[in-house]
Amino acid sequence: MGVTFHMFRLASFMNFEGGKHVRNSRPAKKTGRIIVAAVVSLGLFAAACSKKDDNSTTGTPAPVSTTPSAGSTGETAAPETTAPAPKPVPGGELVVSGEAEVANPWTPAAMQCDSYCQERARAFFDPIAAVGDDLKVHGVLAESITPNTDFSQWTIKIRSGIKFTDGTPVDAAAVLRNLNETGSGLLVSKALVDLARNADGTFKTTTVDPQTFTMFTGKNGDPNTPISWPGFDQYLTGQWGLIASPTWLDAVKADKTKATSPVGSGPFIVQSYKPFDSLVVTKNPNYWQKDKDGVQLPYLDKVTFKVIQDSQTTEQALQDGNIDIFSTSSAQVIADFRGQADKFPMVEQSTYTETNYLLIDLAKPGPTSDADVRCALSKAIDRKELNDLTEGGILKIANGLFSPGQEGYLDDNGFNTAQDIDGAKKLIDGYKAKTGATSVDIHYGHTADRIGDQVAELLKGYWAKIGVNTTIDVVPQDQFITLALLGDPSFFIYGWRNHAGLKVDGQNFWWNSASGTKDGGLSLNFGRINDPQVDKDLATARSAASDADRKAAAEDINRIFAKNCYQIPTQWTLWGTPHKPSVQGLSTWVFPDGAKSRDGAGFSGQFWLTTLWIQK
Amino acid sequence: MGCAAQAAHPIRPCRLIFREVLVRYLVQRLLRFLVVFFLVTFGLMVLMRLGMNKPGDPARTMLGGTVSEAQIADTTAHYHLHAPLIVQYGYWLKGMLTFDMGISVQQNLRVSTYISSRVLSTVFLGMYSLGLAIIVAIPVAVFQAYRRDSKRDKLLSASSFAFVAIPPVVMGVFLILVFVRWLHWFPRTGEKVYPWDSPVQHVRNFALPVLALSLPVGAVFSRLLRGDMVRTLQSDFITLASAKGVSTRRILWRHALRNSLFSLITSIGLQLAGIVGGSIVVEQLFNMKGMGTLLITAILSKDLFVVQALAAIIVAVVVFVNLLVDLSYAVVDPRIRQMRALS
Repeated sequence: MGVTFHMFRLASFMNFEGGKHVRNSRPAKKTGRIIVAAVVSLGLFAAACSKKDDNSTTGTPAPVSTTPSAGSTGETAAPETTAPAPKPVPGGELVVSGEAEVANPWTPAAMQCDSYCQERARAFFDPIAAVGDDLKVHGVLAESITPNTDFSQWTIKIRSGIKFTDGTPVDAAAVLRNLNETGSGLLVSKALVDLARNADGTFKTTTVDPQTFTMFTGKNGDPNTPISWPGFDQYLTGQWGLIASPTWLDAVKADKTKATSPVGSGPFIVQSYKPFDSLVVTKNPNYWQKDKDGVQLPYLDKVTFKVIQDSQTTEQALQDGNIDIFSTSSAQVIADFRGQADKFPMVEQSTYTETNYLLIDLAKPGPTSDADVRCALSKAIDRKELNDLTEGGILKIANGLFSPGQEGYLDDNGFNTAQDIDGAKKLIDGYKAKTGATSVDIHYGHTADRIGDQVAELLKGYWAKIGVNTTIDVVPQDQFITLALLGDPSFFIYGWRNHAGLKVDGQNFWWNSASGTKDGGLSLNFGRINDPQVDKDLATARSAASDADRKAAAEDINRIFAKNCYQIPTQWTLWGTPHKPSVQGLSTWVFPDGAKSRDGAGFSGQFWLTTLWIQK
Repeated sequence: MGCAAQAAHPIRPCRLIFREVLVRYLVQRLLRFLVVFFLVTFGLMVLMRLGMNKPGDPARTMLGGTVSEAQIADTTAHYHLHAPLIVQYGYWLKGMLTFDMGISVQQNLRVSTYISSRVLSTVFLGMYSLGLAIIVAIPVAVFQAYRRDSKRDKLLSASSFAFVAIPPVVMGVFLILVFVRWLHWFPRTGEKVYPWDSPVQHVRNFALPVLALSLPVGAVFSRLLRGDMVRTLQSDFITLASAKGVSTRRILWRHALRNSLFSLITSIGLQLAGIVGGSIVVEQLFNMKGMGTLLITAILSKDLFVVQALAAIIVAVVVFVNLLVDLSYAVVDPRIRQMRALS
């Protein structure tokens, strides 16, 4: 559904997706969607994984399941073929398109990134670690990531001999510099709240040798109260783990405009950047990784990243041959390409994705603070009709904020997605009798886009059937997130999209009462959820030693949300990556430790560029 | 009769009078330009601030809701965002006068760099659209005037009315359906390809956006010119020329057309603003990376300094072109020069 909002800005770090419009800007057609795409996936968590030790008790974070092509919305795993894989041919240029532009590029500390931003950033910044096809965290720049016995200390060893493209060595000092700077941002710092910090706000660390350092956990940053954090390493796979050259970071401090010429140690080197137009990168001839045959990576000589905000325009651009590959969450476009598998193969990602839902400010006095009213609003919705009319019927109806595959997902969490007008009416009547209210009046806000308008009108109609009067508020895109963040008086219910990722620990600050429960102040807990049991479960999901315990905690949260109708889910999103048949090598990058990578893990719609190549 | 004999100062040569008139005229226009420039750019600054979700905190709005307090404080101080609006305007104006348009807070680019990468697309689009509109409108209007009330005149009139009524966005969608979706003659996106890099691709990429923008404008031009031509062709001097055996072609293209151009010239100046507005829509529609899309992007993302710089450029261009239009009256018709001198 075209739920809206623009989380784009918020995004950077968590898997948050904001809404469908990518903000920024845009072309009339599917602004909403665009943003959606943009929505940030903060990837920090997203990628989540478990520990490196196979026998470890940590959870197995989830990657996005992929299906090689048309027709299916696969829940299955990565695409495989029985035919012998063609040998990669180095050279060539790839043109990629995305739907949103990054804000405040390109320092990892400042950039407000969506999935496409993350994809581009990984072209020139190497991450410390990434999620593999086995759903575990594997080192990229890190040679090893080792916890102590109780997971309260993590020792990270950086590979030797790697240099940034400006010649600066990649060592522990460079990595720590990045971790401290990026870790000071609002979102990232909230996500890393349980890492021990020094009095000056930097992380408590010890340097073991020039390539190795140790980080310490600490409840709410207190170095004296270490906590067990088995899933800590997943945070190294997101924006926080992207490592830039300290020399370049110094240059940016002196001249902010240098930020648009980023320097990392990644497979490509930035040649030019024109916002909302193009980012051109060329092969890093001295990249530190080679393939199994000893061929220098990356294979491609050049990649041009374009920004086309309207998904249907992008669709036509691929068909015209103007681009080679793109990712979209537009149901219409995905449906179109399902019928063209022979001309344009498409990989779909249908698990671990975001949820479209109605974000309710629980702290707002009035009907929506009452669980009966919230549940009545949910029961009144004809989700099938909503899905058919606004998303072509191809999305999955959601029963909660945990999409398939995510830790905590349940086929049956007690939430009834079927329309039940009579049941809803009874709840509303009960609320009126209980409070003496003569009418139930609510506000629903969304950004201005076609699908958002459709959804709003449909919801208003459903709710009218149960005697609820709805005022629709069209909220300026640029204010959408901020109003929710601040708990603005105008924020009651917003059409929203968020919560991709693998593990529930990645959602901690979105739902934890410690992130804010009152209107008027900054609260990443947009819904102002204040439930002691949810807090307790989140703490368990962060620190429990066993996968089973963490999973049980996540499932409990899922049930609590369903029972109390804290938020009203509608659909789970779907991503598709159509491309020219000549584009080869998707999902084939292999980590230095020999494990296979997985496209889209943690960042829906994303793919690694290192081993892509063009078949002549 | 010479101007010296008619003017109030018969002993002064004509060229001096014309020079004084011209200087006075230019000074008047310059002052008018300054007033318009101030009203637009300052008014825009005020409106942009009013539109920001947290009055008094423009830095947070520009930077996004999740930036740190330190970043907000830094941006506020650097751009004097705590100062009264008129003072902020003064800082901005001072920067503009020294060609320092500031920095796009959201993209970490100098505004001048940001805009310069977009200028050519819009210049090509505007230039081609205006040129095509004029090139098409003049012969059509001349033909219609010459064959007024004929079936072909009525058909062309109906067509031009239709084009006038169709906004560029609708025209663009129609062109996409026909020439992109059905015929596959042109690409869906009008990407910037310079003519010196690939003339063919340049034409292919700009063809549909230019058509979408120029057809409505050309229709307006042809309607205006046709009307003036019809009136001119009914004038005595045309009858006299015809009686003297001047060829029809010469009458139409030398005598009638030149005396019918005033409305068209005036309209060119006025339509320029329309083309600027239309280019915003057309660039969005064809995913062109021009100043129009940049303006929309900047407005939606509250990139204040980019918006102000673009507004200043647009105001300057529109005012300048209208100044040229005014001056061109005198070029087209010597009587205008004389009248201005006498006044």
